[in-house]
Amino acid sequence: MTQLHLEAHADFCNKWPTLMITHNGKIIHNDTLEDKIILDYTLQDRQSWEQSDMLRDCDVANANEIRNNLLVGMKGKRFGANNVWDTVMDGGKMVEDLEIHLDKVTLDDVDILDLLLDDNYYVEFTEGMQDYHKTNFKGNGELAFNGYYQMNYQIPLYESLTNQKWKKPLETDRGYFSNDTQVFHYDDEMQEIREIEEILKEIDEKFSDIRSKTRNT
Amino acid sequence: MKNLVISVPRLEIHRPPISTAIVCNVIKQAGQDVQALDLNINFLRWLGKHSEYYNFDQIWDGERAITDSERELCIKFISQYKDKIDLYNVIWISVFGGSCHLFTELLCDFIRTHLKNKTIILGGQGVVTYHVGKYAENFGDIMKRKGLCDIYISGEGEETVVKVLNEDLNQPGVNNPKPLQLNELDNLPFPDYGYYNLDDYDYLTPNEKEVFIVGSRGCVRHCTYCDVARHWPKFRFRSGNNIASEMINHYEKHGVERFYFTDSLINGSIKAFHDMCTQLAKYRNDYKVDFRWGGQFIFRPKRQLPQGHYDMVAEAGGDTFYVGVETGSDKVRWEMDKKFTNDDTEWQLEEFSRNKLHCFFLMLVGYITETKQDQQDTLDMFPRWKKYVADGTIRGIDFGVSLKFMAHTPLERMIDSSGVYFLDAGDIYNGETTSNKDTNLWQCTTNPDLDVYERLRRRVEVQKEAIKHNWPVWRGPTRLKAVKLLAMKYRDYLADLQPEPKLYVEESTGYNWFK
Repeated sequence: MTQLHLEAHADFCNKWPTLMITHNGKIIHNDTLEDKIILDYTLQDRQSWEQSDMLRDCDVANANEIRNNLLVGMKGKRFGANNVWDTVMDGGKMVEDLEIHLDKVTLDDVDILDLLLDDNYYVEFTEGMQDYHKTNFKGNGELAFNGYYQMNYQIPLYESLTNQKWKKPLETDRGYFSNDTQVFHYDDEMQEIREIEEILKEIDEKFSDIRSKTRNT
Repeated sequence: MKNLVISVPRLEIHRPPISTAIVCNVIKQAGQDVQALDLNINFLRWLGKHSEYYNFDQIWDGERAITDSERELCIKFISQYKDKIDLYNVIWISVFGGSCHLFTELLCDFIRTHLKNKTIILGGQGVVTYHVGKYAENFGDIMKRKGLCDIYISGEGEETVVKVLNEDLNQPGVNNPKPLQLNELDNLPFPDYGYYNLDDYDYLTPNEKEVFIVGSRGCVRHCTYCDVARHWPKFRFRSGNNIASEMINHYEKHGVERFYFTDSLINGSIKAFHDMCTQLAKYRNDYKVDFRWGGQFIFRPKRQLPQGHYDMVAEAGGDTFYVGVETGSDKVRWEMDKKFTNDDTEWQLEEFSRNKLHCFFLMLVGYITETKQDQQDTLDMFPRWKKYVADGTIRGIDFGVSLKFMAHTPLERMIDSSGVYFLDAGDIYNGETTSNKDTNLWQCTTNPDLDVYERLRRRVEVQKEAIKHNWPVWRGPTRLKAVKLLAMKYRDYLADLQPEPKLYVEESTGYNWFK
């Protein structure tokens, strides 16, 4: 189980917006957001890597099966249907707009707002919007159209978030002391570990008596 | 007199060298001509690729001998500077540590062979490097005996350099390893980075100039495995205002906004550290400067720190701190004389996280008193604090190789009482095989379960656990290569002890047997 914590605030225009949160396709929150809100939910996650015998990076074919999806969105904003707009313009300037602003989103105390914003904001077409309206774009934490941000994670959570937030593509021709792209790439380390373990095994098999003697004298 | 101050490989390439920047300023203030030459960064640029530069690490670190072609390459590189060096009378060479020995020797030999009437002066901690139990000659003594230098200076150079310039050689620290420690650091000249082309360096973040800062010398702690107290027996520190003034000076002169402290502990004096943070925070706010700085750091018991301490550190631009956590065992950490606990660590991690500060863990696996339970405590650390990896507070962990006995450490003085003995597996030192004991290959009668094999096993086990929990292991493959070399040495040592099979002739059959 994972603890979701979300803090957000809203801008009023004709009414307050509706905040919707889904987890793995199930709606866990669907309510009007008046001014500010702080939410805490316990999420029932899908199976862990260990349970499913999956590899760390989940680069296997059925990775989707164990992926958890979190979606944070807004709905109910009107764009002219029945002649109602939840945006008020005055002389070309927006004076009121129905919006939600995400202030803080964490999973088990780790900030995931950056991961939500890494992906695009997906706009759900609403009656009254122009046909050519963009359906997704890079957002900055505000929800100004009906639509959603989303992110995926796996269990164990922290390992999954670590990879998503901090693992970079490996670059080789960089300073050894400072090559931050090397971290979280364990292939070379595992190779060295295997070779050391081979040596230890050889010592075990061939020299355990002598080892004991050096230790006891 | 015309003076040339030279830095040699291997140094770090991400910042201009501080020691020679200080020496240059000292010589200038003494009224003499001086220039700097950084052969370390020039060597990187000349080789062209980082990988080629780092290929020399095994040589500089004494892990293997230099080949003829590599030696020729070094001499070819040095020979480019023949005419430049010839313009100066006095050649000062900064020997940062043992990893500078071989290049220094090649350079001095080149100068002696090809240039006349040069006074060669060596300085830096590397001139007084010894091996455990071998104190007859240090590197400076050896170089003098070989005629490759005229003078060596040990300890802090600021005052000694002036005395040498005045030919006042009968001084502590001149041609002897017993310098006097400077007490008042606030009066010393700032390093002058104007002697370098600051665009030459391989900054950690491209186009963000970064320089070293010395805030203190020595250490408030006396960790048993560490030899800092040998170089600086007393902990001496600059006032916080003096340090902040220097940082502001580098910003105003050179536009430098990134700083790395060379201190053993950046927060050795809480008062000086707090004063520095206060002044930097004010300057940052007043002038909208994005100072960011870091260095080695110690976690402290919560009760020692004022409320809001880490908020102030963050406001001052504190960024990344390297902390000798060493182990997950409170017992072992206490025996190392570190004086903080896992609970202290956790509180500090939480404060770091809240203030968006970052830290690196420096670890030491296989301490002399380490038991299986202590090892388990270390293994437990990885799941316990992986949250701080995920949120970016813990940016790295370096496991080192394993506990090695260094000369002039409290641990060395505990050799007899702990029943430590070294397995005589030989050692490679600057390309010459010596009969020195390898101080990595130790065992002890007071903790016989922790023999070399067990230490190697634990070292590997710890790294596997870190990988399992997706920790950011730094220098992982390189450290493990050194662990592997140790394992091979140990295996070869045991193989050498294996009795030679002897030929026996069985009388009844006349057959020959090896037994």
